[in-house]
Amino acid sequence: MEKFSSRTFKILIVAVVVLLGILIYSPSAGSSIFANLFGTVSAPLLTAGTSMTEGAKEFVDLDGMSREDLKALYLELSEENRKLREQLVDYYEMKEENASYENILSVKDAMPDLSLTAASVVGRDPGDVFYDFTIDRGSLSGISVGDAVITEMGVVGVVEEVYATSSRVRSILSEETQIGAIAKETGESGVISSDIQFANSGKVRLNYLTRDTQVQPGAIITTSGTGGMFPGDLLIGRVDSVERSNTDSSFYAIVTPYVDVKTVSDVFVITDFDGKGDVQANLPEPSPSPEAEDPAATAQKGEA
Amino acid sequence: MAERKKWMRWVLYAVQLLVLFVLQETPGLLPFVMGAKPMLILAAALTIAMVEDCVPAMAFGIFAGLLADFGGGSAMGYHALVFGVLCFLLSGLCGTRIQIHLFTAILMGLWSCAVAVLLDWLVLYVARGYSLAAYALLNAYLPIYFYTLLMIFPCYGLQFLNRRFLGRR
Repeated sequence: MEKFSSRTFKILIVAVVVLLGILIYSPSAGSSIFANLFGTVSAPLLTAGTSMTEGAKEFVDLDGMSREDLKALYLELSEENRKLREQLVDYYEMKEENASYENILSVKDAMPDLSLTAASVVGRDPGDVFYDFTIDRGSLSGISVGDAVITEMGVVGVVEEVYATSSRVRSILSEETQIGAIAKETGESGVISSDIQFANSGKVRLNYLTRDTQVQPGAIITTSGTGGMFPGDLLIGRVDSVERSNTDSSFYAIVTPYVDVKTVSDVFVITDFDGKGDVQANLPEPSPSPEAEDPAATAQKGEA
Repeated sequence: MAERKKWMRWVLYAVQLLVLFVLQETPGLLPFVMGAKPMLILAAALTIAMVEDCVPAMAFGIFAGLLADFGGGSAMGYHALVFGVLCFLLSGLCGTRIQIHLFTAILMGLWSCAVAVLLDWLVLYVARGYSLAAYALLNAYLPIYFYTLLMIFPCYGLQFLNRRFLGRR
């Protein structure tokens, strides 16, 4: 039995010093070589794990069929499978691919100015309380830090870290995510943000509404396009209620995002769009808010 | 023979950590309980440390920590440092002062897991300036802690089997 000894303590000290070095070096180097190395090794593992889980889920989803039903179904399918095996070699793969292309096409048709990259969610860390996640596309697919992440249903988050073959996405539920937003019906603008309490319930808040706000429950909230990170008119969510802020005289709306960030599995990364990086692009008229911070300015400052 | 068994045991630990990493990261595989998922590789690294010598325990702690760093998006090296030191101390305690069996494994898991989760809360939440720190501790980190603690049982079972067939302590 190797006990605490001066030799083992020396090894511990060396390890601590090396790890401290890595810890200090990593943030200054951005996506460091260590992270890239780990990403390159673990991303295929995560992708394989996700694929196996999806396969297993399909396998066990038998809708409560009886044993006889299953046997009959098995025989029927075996016969059918025998006849059609040759034709079906690539069928499912092609069908899946086709569905994926249809999704891309529908989003691209709706927003022709966007350059989109399709990606799958392959990692969700248990220690992340804001439901950030990892996708299976990285810098090799043209993704860069700050790219917006969406689905055909609406906004999901922002790319936070990029490795060669994978990227880390900060979800819309994160306290660090702030998005310039607008209520379509009334034209009132604000900033979408969240905190741990909202994240736990899967909601976000639209801040900086004035006391005479016309925003009502059911109102549709979209991106405003300010900040140059998100294009305008991307769906965010629907207003649940409007509340008064505890910290100032402004109001905020509680918004349920159209996309359930906790379970989303396929996303699109907006790698380019007209006005990307242009802080003033599509800048809406800010709602008059004498006491609250100017939302457009906040969006420029905080949309990240 | 003993040397060969030792290496086989270490290879099994590494494979175990990789598999558990994939399991804990795979979306939709482990069910959320009160919005939390267990940190499987933490539970595995701690139970490995309970049955291994200080240096290999620390090495596997660092490996598990690096996986956690990549998966969680924290600064590369943070979890490696915490897990490495924690596993070193745990291994030292279990090797010198405490006879390890299921009950003591749970006792050791109670404090070591608490240290790791509390540090996560302090470094990755409080120090980053997020609001509602107490709420986060009670409603996000505490469920993670208990869920991870629950995973000490199967992980200890794995190490028990490993130890039975490939020797050690």
